[in-house]
Amino acid sequence: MQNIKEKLNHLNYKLFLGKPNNSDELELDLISSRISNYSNVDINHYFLLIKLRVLAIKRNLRAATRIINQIQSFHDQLSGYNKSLFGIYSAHKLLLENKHQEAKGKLTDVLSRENVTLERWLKGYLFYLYALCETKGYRISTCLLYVDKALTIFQGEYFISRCIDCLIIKGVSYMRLNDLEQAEECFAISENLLFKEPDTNRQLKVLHNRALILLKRGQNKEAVEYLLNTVRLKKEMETINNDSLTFSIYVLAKTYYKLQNIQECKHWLHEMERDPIPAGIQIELILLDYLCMAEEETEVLANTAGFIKELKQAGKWNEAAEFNYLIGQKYQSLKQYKKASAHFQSAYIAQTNLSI
Amino acid sequence: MKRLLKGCFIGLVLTFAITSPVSAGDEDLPDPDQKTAESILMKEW
Repeated sequence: MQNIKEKLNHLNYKLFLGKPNNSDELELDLISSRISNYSNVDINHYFLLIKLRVLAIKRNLRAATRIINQIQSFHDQLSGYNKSLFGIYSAHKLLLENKHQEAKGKLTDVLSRENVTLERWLKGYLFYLYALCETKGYRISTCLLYVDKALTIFQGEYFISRCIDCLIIKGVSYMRLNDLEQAEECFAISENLLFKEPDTNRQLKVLHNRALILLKRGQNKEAVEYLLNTVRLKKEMETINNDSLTFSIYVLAKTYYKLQNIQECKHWLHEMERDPIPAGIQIELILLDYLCMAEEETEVLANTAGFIKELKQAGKWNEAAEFNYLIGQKYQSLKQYKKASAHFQSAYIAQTNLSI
Repeated sequence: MKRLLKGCFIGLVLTFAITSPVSAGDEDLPDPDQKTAESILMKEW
């Protein structure tokens, strides 16, 4: 029994490191066949939790939901440690579905359980996921607090790739605070670490975010070069999923729109894989399409109001502010100052709704 | 009245010239897990 527990512990840790190998697969199958012979409830629960983890990592979210529902039915019987693990792994799955508010709820429960001792790597992972929820919810100060807690643990344990992830979150937070020097510092350290542990996926994220810093500094040409490189490399990489590529193309198209290069914007919108459109940017894409269409028929701008409202209802205040601003600019160029003024005002109000 | 409106409009434009909003959705955030090729290769349960 102890042997099985140790094997599960080992596998759980390997899943965190992202380095399971073929022999682990065989081990899992073996445990799967042996586990039913044991009556130890905790180990059976632990096994199910690792199963949930594997399914989420493999992005088999439907099967992961089934396991979550199964575990939920006997949640009261879980040990304190298993309850914490369940909270963390359900939050991981929810984050993959872009449900960061629900994920935060799960993680808050885990954080409130002070009497449960977690391994250092798991504690670091808990802080990291919490910081990720906060960054997605645009709560910068709490995000920085938790990402620093995670970074301290990951640095101490030499988890280089996890440190890079934390530094990306930190860099993005500083960028949002307009502290561009600090943001650049974070991305520069990330790139140094990437020399030690090369990873194209993370490299592309750094590249993409550095482009945004350049845009903020008004170095638009250089920013577009960075974004074009990101899109090209993402296209070449087979392990990058379509959503990630579509997202970068969307940002590139929007950047071209902001630079008033409507032709290139339309070209990239046309290049985009839209079957299916990633859930996170559906409304934004519709609004960008309308803005491009408004170059020929300005009346379509009237259709944007409902979508802006949807962005606000989804709590996407930054996106609402940005599109209100772009629509305002369009009305301004059409000399429709009253409408432009109303949109700038809405953009301003949307921005003040941000909780920083 | 027209002048007042124009003044308000210029004020708002100036405000945004300083703080042009950037969308939170534009940033490429890290993944919640490691997302390595090995983990994707793991076979079905």
